This record gives sequence, C-alpha cells and structure tokens, in this order.
Amino acid sequence: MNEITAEHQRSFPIFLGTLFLLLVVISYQISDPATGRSVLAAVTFRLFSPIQSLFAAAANGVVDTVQNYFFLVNTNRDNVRLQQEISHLKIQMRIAGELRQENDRLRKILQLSEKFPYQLLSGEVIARDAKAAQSRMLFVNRGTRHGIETLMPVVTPEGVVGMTVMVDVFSSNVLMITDASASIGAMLEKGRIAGILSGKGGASCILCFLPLSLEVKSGDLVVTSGQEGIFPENLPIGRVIREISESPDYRCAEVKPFPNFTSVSEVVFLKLESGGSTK
Amino acid sequence: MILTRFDWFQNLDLFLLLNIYIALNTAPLPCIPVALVSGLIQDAFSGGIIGMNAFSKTVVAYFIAVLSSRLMIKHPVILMLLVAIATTVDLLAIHLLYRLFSLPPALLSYLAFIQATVLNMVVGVLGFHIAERVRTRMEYA
Repeated sequence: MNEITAEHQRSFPIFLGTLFLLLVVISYQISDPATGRSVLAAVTFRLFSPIQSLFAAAANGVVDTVQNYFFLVNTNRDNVRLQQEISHLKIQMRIAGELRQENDRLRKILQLSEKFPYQLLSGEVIARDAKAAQSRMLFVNRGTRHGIETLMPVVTPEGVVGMTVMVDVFSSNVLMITDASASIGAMLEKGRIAGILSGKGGASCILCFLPLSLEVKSGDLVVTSGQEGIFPENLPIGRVIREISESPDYRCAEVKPFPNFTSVSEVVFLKLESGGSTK
Repeated sequence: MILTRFDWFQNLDLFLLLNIYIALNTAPLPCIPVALVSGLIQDAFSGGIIGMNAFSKTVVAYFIAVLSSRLMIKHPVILMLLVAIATTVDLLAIHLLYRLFSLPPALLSYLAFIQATVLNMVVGVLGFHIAERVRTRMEYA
C-alpha cells in the first residue's frame, strides 16, 4: 500500500503537468473571437499583466525616487545660488540706500552753495581721532591737490564742523569746534551780540564773553559772527542748552552743535572765492 | 472504414477502450503517455483541435489506473459500469473544454450518447475478456 501511495504521489504531478501542457496546446489553436488573438496569448496577457503592472510600478517608483533625488539636489543647488544672489542684492540695496542718502546730502550742500560766495569742496571723513573718547579731529580725503588750504572752514548742511589745521596733498585734518583748543567767533542769532565759542573737549561748546545785560535762554540759535576772519557770517553752529556761570564779568552759555560729530561722513570745505569776504 | 459504414458505429470509441484496458492493467504513471499519444492520434485523425481527446483520455485513464490499483475490477458488470462511467467522463471532459474556450458545444444528442455508452460497454467488456484470454495464454505459453 505504501508503494501504491508513493506511486500515486509521483504520478500525480506528472498527470497535472500533462493536462496543463495539453491546455496550452489547445489554447494556442483557438482564437479569441473578440480580439482575434489566440486564447493562449489572451490568457498569458491576462495572467502576466498584473505582474507586469507591478514591475512597472516598482520601476517607475525607482525612477521617480531617483529623479526626485536629483531634483532635490538641483533645488538645493539653486537654493544656495539664490541665497548668494539675495545676499549680493541686499548689499547692493544697502549701497543704493547710502548713495541715495549721499545724494540727499549733496543736494543740500548744493543748495548751500547757492547762498554763499564760496567755492564748495566736498570731502569724505576717512578717520577720526582714535585717542579721544569723542573725536575732536576728523581726517578728510581732500588735500592741497583738491584746493584745500589751512584754516579753511569746514561745514555740513546741518552746521559748522570746524576748520582745517593741517593739510597734506591728498588729505587734511579738521579741528572740530568741540575741541578744547578750538575757538571761533559766534553770536546769538537774536540780538546779534558777538562772543567767542570754544570747545570743551566733549560733545558741546561754550559761548562766552556775552554781555551781562543779554538774556540767554535755552534753545537760542547760535551762529557764526565772521569776526575771526575764517568763517562766513550767519552759519548755524548750534543751540543754547543752558546758561553757565564762568565769570562775573560776562555771561556764558553751553551750546550743543547741530552736526552729529560721531556720525558725520561727508563735509564741505568753504573756499573763499577771489575777491570775496567772510562778511 | 468498415465501422463508418454504420452510422451508430461512429460513436464507438476504440481509443477510449484501449486506454481503459491499459489503465486496468498498469500503474497510473505509464498510463499517462499512452493516453496522451492515443488521444493525439485520435485528434489528428478526427480533424478537430489537437489535444481535446488527449486531454479527456488522459483524465479517464489516470483515474481508472488509480482506482484499479486499489480495487479489484474484474467482474463483467463492474467493468461495464466502469466503461459507462468512463464514456460519460470522456464526453463530459470534451464538452467542458469546449465551454472553457467558448467554442460551440460538442455534446452528443441523448440518443447518440446512449448509443456510445452501450456500444462501449458491450464492445469493451467483450474486448477486455478476449484480451485477457490472449494475455493469459501468452503468459503460460
């Protein structure tokens, strides 16, 4: 009996294989009336099309993944490039903004030039006195080559800055009015009583030698008097902060200059035209 | 040629009887190629689709061989019954194949079916008996 069972176990797969083979042979000979193809072709197509679809989906998935990878790589590269472009554009925008501000300042200077018989020479501040807590000396990129001379008034559209004290070929030193050694003729715009404006070494100046009868108030406008022979008359210097007592013989007032000396970047030299006068 | 002179002899399936006889006397495994070849020959001469009769003969022969390996099938009545069942399965297998491949049905009429069954039964049993006698004589000879 065991031999019979073993015989049956051996023969059954061969039996099934034979039947399958005969079905293949039969289906090859019969045509599908709908498509005209043989039944074998139709059955094979129907059997393998899902498998083919699976393979195609897998292949497409791999292709999509690879393409997405390269797409991301390119996107990252474009991102880096665009970031660099943005940085460059920001810098350009900042420069353009500074140019616009410079343009505005120069326009003001141009308006200033229309008021005075002076030749205006503009210059850029290239350095400040690093030893001082508040710079009282400016270094400007204009020198004798540009027509700068010593003791030439230096101003900004806001007001008086100082005067040149040392002039080189291509640069010059400007002593600011806040320096302790600086002194110019100044007066209160109201009353027009002349005094002497001196620097204190800080951020403000002192206007002294005002008559005791003169009333000094905070906010009074201080302008140049032109009496020292350097600055023209009526150039704005600053405003009175408060009255201070320096001497019983005359009045003094602390004056805050208009220009912000810590941030001034462009100045204008006033060159007196030939035949001109400070008055 | 002789048999085709009589219409009702056309339903006699000698290839089927041959496969039944071989299946009764051999193991299942040798029956498969015999049934395959005989069926293909029958298909070739019938002018139909190659493989149809081979398929049905293989099925019939294999299951008869499996059955005969477990049971003693010698009694004439049982043989006739077996031949009737084999004839039915053979015709049914071909009909199912036609249905499977969407071909026009190949069923015989009831009369033709009965003629085929009766003929196969009678000729089969007689033939098996004669064949057994011849085989026995050859063995003793």
